[in-house]
Amino acid sequence: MSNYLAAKGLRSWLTTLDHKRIGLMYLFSIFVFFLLGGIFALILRLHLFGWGKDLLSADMYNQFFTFHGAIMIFLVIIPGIPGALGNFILPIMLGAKDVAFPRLNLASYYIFMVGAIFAASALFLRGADGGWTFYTPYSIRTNTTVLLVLTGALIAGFSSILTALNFIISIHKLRAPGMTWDRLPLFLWALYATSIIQILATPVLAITLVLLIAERVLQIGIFDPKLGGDPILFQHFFWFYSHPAVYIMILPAMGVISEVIPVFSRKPIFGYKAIAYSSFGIALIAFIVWGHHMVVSGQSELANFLFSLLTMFVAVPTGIKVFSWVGTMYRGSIHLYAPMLYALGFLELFTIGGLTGIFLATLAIDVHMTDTYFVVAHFHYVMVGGTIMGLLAGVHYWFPKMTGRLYSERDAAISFWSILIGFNVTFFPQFILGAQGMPRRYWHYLPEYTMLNRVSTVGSWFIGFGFLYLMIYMWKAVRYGKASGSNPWSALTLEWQTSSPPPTENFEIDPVVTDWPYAYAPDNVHMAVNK
Amino acid sequence: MASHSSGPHLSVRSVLSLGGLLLVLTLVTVLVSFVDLGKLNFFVAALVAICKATIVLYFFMNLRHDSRDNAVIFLTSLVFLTIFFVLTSVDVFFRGDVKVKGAFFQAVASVTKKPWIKTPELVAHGKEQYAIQCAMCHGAVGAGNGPAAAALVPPPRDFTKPDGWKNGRKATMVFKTLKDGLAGSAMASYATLPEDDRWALAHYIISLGSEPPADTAEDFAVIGIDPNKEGSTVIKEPKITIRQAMALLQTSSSGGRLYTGSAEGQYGQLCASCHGDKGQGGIKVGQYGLYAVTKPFDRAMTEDAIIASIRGTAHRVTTLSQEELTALARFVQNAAKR
Amino acid sequence: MRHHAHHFASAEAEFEASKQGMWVFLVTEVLMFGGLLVGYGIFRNLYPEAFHEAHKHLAVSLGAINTVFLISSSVTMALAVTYTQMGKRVAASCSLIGTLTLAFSFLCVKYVEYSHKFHDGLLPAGYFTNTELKLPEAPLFFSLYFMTTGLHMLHVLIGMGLLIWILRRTWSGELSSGYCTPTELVGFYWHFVDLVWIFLFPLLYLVG
Repeated sequence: MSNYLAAKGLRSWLTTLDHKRIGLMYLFSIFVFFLLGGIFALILRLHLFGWGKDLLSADMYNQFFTFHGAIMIFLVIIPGIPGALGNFILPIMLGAKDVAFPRLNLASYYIFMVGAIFAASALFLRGADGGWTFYTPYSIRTNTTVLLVLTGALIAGFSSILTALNFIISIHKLRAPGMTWDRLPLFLWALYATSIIQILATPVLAITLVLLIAERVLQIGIFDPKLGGDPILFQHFFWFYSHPAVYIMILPAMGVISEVIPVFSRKPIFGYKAIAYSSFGIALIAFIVWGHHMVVSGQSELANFLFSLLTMFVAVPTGIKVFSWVGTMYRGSIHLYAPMLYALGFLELFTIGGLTGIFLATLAIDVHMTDTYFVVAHFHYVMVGGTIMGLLAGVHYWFPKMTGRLYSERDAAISFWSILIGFNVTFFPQFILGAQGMPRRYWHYLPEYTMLNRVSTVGSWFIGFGFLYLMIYMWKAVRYGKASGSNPWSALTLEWQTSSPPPTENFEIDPVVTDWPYAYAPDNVHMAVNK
Repeated sequence: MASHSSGPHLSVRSVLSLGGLLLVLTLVTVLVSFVDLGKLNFFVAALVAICKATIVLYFFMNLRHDSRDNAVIFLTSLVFLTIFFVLTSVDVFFRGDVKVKGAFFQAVASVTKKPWIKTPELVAHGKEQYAIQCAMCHGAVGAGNGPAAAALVPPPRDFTKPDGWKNGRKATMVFKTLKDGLAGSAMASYATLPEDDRWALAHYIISLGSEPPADTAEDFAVIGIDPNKEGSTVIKEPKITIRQAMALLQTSSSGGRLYTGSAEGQYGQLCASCHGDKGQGGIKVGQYGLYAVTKPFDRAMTEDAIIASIRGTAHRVTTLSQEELTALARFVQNAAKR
Repeated sequence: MRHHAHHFASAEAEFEASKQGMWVFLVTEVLMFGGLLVGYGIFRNLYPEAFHEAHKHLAVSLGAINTVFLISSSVTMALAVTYTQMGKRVAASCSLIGTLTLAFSFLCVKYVEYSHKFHDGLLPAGYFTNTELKLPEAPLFFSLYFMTTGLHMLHVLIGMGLLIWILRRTWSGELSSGYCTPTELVGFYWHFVDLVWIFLFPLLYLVG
């Protein structure tokens, strides 16, 4: 029986309309961008190790953190789970043969790559500085090739829109017979909410970037105080997209965690509806809190107050999810395989990130914490601790599905602990640095911050090692891993009911759904063997 | 939904008549725009546009027969667009509009609801305000010999003497002067101060000299206050903007040094009475025995020129540090830009 | 009857999915134009006098003519869909040609308008050279005018490209009563372009 990987040759990949192959192409590209962004991060940390010896010039430092931020956000974290895992898993989970518009799906991949190439080409020209937020008026005046990065982000945005459109229509129209909305797997609920945010928010990013490009090229002055415009209006436009984007990043990861935890706890998911609907709560709240990024920008006090208040509500749906996951694990039969390790890592890091978010949402505290390392630590805990942990949990969970092979659990554990410990060592000291007043984005710092900065840099080496190790054992598993069988985790969702790797059309026989997918029981489990 | 592949969903005739309707509506909106209806023009135009849009959506884009999902999908976009506009407006149209009850006059307001009746607390509060608002010209003890007095013609009033008061020497009349200013002099209107503060100032200023005659009912009528009513009608706005409050807080808590704090606060104390609260100028002041009218600030002024001018003999502001001078100069430049 | 793609149950299902896809796409369009309208709403309320003075420099007559062109093109587009659904190949093609002609006329009028503005120095803020309009915020009106109408014009151009594609397929008989999804969807897009102009015209030309 031929599976989707049977056709060989580069051409068969580059012209494929198969969502599974497109998903793998995303996964590979995103991995490359992640390496690139990661190398920037390691160099930045290395620079901050010795405050007297300058590894980077001040300009280079600005450009490096801009590239680190822009690459990680626009090319890794935002497209990461939807582009790679979503594309691969969504149609199979639905019991469909493909996404609704396969050609659009391939186009979306290429548009993404064109955007990425635009942004990356700035690296070889005059670079870009000013951070991934491109605040005006600096971004209007800087002499770097920021125009290329803006165009790249604009193009990548269209790719994001097309993927989201495809997912929404697929979920609406391509569910297998019997898959009613209350039998939809939670990963799909999460992707659905994510796609809605992408559809509603990304166009505003597009027009913002168009206006900013026009600002540089045509001097339209809307965001330029010199010409009568309002630079703070840019921040409104930017954050109307970029705050919801934070949930574009985290929601799919939450979806992955919702899949992994019941499988490895061998218990039905606790609070299915609460988890499903809270995704929509998050999606809605995502659009009404953006002003908390602008507390010291000079926006009105009324706005500060209102946004601070509204931001507090984010804690409700996220809290519902976290408690539901914990509730699922309670008295479960927990199997600590790699996906579960990452899910637990997610719970730890995301909770720290979320709780420090409450500090920052509090108006009076945020005035002091704005643009300090406290913020840096907070969003790394949420984005890396949330999204990247979720992505890794998903990659490990569906690795047998994608390749039909097993990785070594021992190696995966080594890599996981190295990343988890390294992450905490890197970023926890940054909370303290921030509380002590060390500003973010500075090339230099005062001598009293030396100790904690060095601790932080040492931590980053552990993360680097963890990912290097991960690359090696993943590669080994793809080449030499043991056959996994079709369902190594004894999971119940549809994607595990077909062979691994799946056939091109996903199912030999069109599936019919008769029950919800989380009826797990603790006994009689056949789990992957080489633990 | 059954319409697909079972014939057209709109007949040729209905397409043409709907088109005609759209063109008529276009004509209507153009014609109405030539009539000046004030604000109503906008609403009429918006209403016609919404009617036209509804026709296009409902008939041409066939939402009439389409699944309800698609209508919901489309309307979602409008909901979120509204959220975008409303929450952005909450910032843009409300900057500097949030008012607070400052500690500086809260104490007074809590003591009395009739601030025109003199109390020791009001006088004490007036003394504090006097140091901030008045002492620059009228002098620390009200003898009309403050640091800036020499530049002013007519010279500032000597509060210790009973004669020559333009509006008469009564608390109500001082209140009136603070409200309206005095034409032909550097005494600007201080109507930007909360009313309680102005009453407190009036009581303190009167207390600098001998006891004046009592305020009559006519006096109160002049300033439009009914002395029998509680102050709730009088203390209309016992609140100031946060920015003003911050400036005041910085000045009043500076412990002896009068001229510290933000450039905005500095400007209010040092410059506004002659140059206007927005730098618009046009106020008659005297220099070297000659009258002059202050000019509006203009854009061409450099920071150095402003500093030189602040330090010059006409101004005699010598208490400012270099940093404060720079900050004030920047503030003046910004005022000029507006 | 055209064969439907393998992952859909029927041609009907495929059509419904494509149509819903189009609606979702139009949502993104609303929010993209909406961003500009929010900018317009903010600045108009901040500087009402400047915007009022500036809008008097737009030619209402040209704007009104263009509105008539676009609405008429929407009518011919709707006719094209109707004729295609009825299987009238020639009438459908003629309607599409009519739509294209009206769209082209729209562009010609826009060209006249733009060149007039260029000549008067009524340009985006940084290049604004007009000396009649003295209010310092007036140039912002023209920044927004060029951005909104420019983005709209880009949509007209894209729409014309799609119309030509549809015209070719209609003329060759590929799109007919059996299968006319592309005609209907391009129709949606074209009506949306009209819809945007229905709002831009009064906002820019009539009330300022």
